[in-house]
Amino acid sequence: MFTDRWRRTKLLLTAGSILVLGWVYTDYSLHKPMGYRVALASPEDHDGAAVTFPLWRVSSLKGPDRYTISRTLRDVPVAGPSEGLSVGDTVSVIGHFRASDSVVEATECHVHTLRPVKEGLSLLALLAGLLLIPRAFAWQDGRVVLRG
Amino acid sequence: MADLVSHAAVGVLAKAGTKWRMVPVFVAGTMAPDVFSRGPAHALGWVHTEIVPLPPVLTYGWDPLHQPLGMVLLAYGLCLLTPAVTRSGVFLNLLGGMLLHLAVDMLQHHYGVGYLLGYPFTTWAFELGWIGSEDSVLAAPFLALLAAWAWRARSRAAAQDETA
Repeated sequence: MFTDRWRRTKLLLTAGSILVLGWVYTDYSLHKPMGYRVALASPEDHDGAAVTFPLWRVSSLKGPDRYTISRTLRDVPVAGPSEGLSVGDTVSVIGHFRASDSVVEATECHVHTLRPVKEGLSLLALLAGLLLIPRAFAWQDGRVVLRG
Repeated sequence: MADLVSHAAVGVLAKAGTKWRMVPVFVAGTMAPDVFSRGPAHALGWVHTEIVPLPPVLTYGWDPLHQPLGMVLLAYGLCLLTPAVTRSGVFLNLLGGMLLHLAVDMLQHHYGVGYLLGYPFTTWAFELGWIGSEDSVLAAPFLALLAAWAWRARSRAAAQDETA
């Protein structure tokens, strides 16, 4: 398993397995029994169904009681108070699907105010990691080797 | 996901309690699930919503690399890039870091949407939900300082052991 025998084949098989897993997961995500995308496909069957949108982005404000959110879908319409929301805010919306106009009737909307700080910290750690890579690793004879 | 500063710091602190070997590999493991899964999904999700619609596989397909089976495959694929003599150690340290990442993330609360721990064999989702999804931000500075101190102390001790 860890020898150099069939190394390239093992690399290709591993990469292929990751691709297949990603493909299977995408299919599962698009067809799982609960979710806005499935509700859109057959609205009457899902009228009133519970839907959750964790960590989506506010993409537009349409009025005091209407806004849209985006992430894997663009501009999902939400009926609910938009006071205090701004375009670009990260929110988690919990609500029910309304078949008549495909709108999500929000029962809860949580604004993640610290999200930009969290993303900034992650970016900082990523940049620090990239800067430190040459101190910890090197490229030698076509392989990644550890220094020290 | 918790922020990457917290993940990396927790990785250093966890490693400080063991033999001080392959620390950069273990810490890289603690960052890898977000770098290989959340990063591309976030970037392509932005392209999808702001620029041009993309096929769903480009926005959903990265998620398994933040799940146990995907982590095993990712750790194995990455360890194959290293020399055979260190390969098993690299695999175990990468995978250990990745599983620690998942354990830290599972502390968070995502309004009922947990982590798929057994995918593709089961779609059972779980999270402990003890902290909010941004709470790690408040702990990050303290964790980073503690990790820097632990790194310095353990590196010195390891250097002294080598010279003794």
